[in-house]
Amino acid sequence: MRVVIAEDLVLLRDGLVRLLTAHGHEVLAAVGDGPALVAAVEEHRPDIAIVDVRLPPSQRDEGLRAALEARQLVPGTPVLVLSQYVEESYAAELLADGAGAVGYLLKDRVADPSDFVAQVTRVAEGGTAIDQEVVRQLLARRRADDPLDELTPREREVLELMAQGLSNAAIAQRLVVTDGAIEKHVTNIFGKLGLHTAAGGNLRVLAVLAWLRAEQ
Amino acid sequence: MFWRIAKLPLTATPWKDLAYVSLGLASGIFALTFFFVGPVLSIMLIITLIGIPKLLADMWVTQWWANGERLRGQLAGVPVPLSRRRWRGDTLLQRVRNGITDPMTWRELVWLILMFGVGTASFIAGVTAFSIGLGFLTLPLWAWSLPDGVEVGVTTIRSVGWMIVFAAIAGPPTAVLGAWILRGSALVQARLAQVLLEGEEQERITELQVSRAGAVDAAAGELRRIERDLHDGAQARLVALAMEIGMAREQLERDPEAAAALLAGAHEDAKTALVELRDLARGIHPAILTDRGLDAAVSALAARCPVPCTVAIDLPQRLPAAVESAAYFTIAEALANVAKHSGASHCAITGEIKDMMLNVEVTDDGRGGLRESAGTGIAGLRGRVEALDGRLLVVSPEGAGTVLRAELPCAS
Repeated sequence: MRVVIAEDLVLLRDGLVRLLTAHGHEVLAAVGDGPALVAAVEEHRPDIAIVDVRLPPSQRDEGLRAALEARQLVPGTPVLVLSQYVEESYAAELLADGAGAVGYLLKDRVADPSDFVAQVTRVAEGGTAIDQEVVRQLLARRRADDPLDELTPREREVLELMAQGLSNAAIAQRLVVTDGAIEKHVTNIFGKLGLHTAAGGNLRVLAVLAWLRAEQ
Repeated sequence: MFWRIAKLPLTATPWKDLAYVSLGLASGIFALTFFFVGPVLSIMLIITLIGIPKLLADMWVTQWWANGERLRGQLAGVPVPLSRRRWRGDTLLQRVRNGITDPMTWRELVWLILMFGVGTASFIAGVTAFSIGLGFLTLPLWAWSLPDGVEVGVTTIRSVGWMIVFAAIAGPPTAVLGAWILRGSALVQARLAQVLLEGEEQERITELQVSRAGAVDAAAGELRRIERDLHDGAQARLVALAMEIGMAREQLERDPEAAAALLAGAHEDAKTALVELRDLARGIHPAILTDRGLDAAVSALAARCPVPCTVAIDLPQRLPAAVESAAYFTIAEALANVAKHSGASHCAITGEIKDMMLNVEVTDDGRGGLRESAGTGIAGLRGRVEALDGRLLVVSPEGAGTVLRAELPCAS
């Protein structure tokens, strides 16, 4: 994988470079602010850009905006946004863009290097990686007469993993059950939520997230 | 009763009144001139935009002048408390607007317009009446300058003896009357000034609202700073630490040496994170201040300052926590500036209680020129100090050291 990193804190930037290099990936550029990220993406056309939300000069959501801008210049560039805090509304902005694969993870996730690299790879390959924290925030928004109440605990678990961007196979592996069992759960969930199962892969994740985000 | 009325010319009062109406005349002349070159000109210039900053300057000058008027009232025995209004705002326009909507500004303006007329009238009435009284009393002393004698009603007095008789009879009553007319004209002016210039409770309320808003801003700014420090410091270090340990764990079997190197790095990060957290906690509220009071806490601060410091804090007792903490952070900020910007070779910290006020002062011999706007954290301190009804003074002339002083009321 060819990677561009934007992170202003040197400590974490170096850490990310080391982590990705140790797992056999190539870091093309590691920059410290928004404009430099846009330039680096345009120059290197990486397989994925890993971006910290909060970057100088504004120290607000500069990274998010720079990533979206970079993606306008080089359409389809997968973007993985890292943040010290995850906010569901930021995830919504990223997903709304719809111009390529998206990941949005808590910085803490680097504490499990293999898992983290697996998620980076998934996004680079066009998949989605949404932090479990975001999914939890979405699920916490209850509505009156909530169809989620009809899900069994197991189905809820599957839904959470699905929303994070995991494939059926990955979910099956995580929950230590067969692929067939997961497929059955997914069909049930979609039936209860009134979603169509036709969509697969990334579209399925987006459909689930959109359903969770939709206001009643 | 009679004596109380009659003795007025013998007291200092007429002379004070005389000073009062004379200064009033000068003040009136200034007021008339300033009214035209000040607000009137500003209004005419408002199209050119120069009028806007000039208007703000005019309001300041008017307030200073009105404070002079309030002080002048003391001569006539009618002092008015000084006004310490400030028109704050992020932009010039906001400040001008706050000034214009301030009712006291308008009342001062009214006095500015009235002052010339009132000042001239009471000067003429008071001075004339008092001079006639004095003149009658002292007639024998200056009558020689009138070759034709002194006409009194139908007759003319020419001999010195008759003049002495006249001065003795007519002098005292006219002097008393003159002194009272002077008193009256001074009082009319002073009361009018009092009615117009005496601030109401509203002014105090506005002052409190401003200082409270300042305190809230200061607190919010402080919270943002803490969040930033945590985000960029300890929190980032802990993420790096977790990552290093995670990598070490994964490499433990394959490559124990690399794992050991990662663990060593993680160990360092953990220790640094501890130091950063400790510093941050101290920045929020130092434990020693709670436990041992201002003197000990400031001594500990001074010991950590790279510039040699002397500490002379003399407090008979513990002070309210808010006062201690404001004083502590004033000194901490001052020392941080001394260490970072001043280039000083020595620094002195003093603290004492005088008239129920805690005065703390940090003086250095550095290059001075400390500017409040240059992100030196002084603006935040000011909010904190003013919230306690205190004052923060910064004297920092270019090349001549810096004095930072906080005066904090401590009713204890």
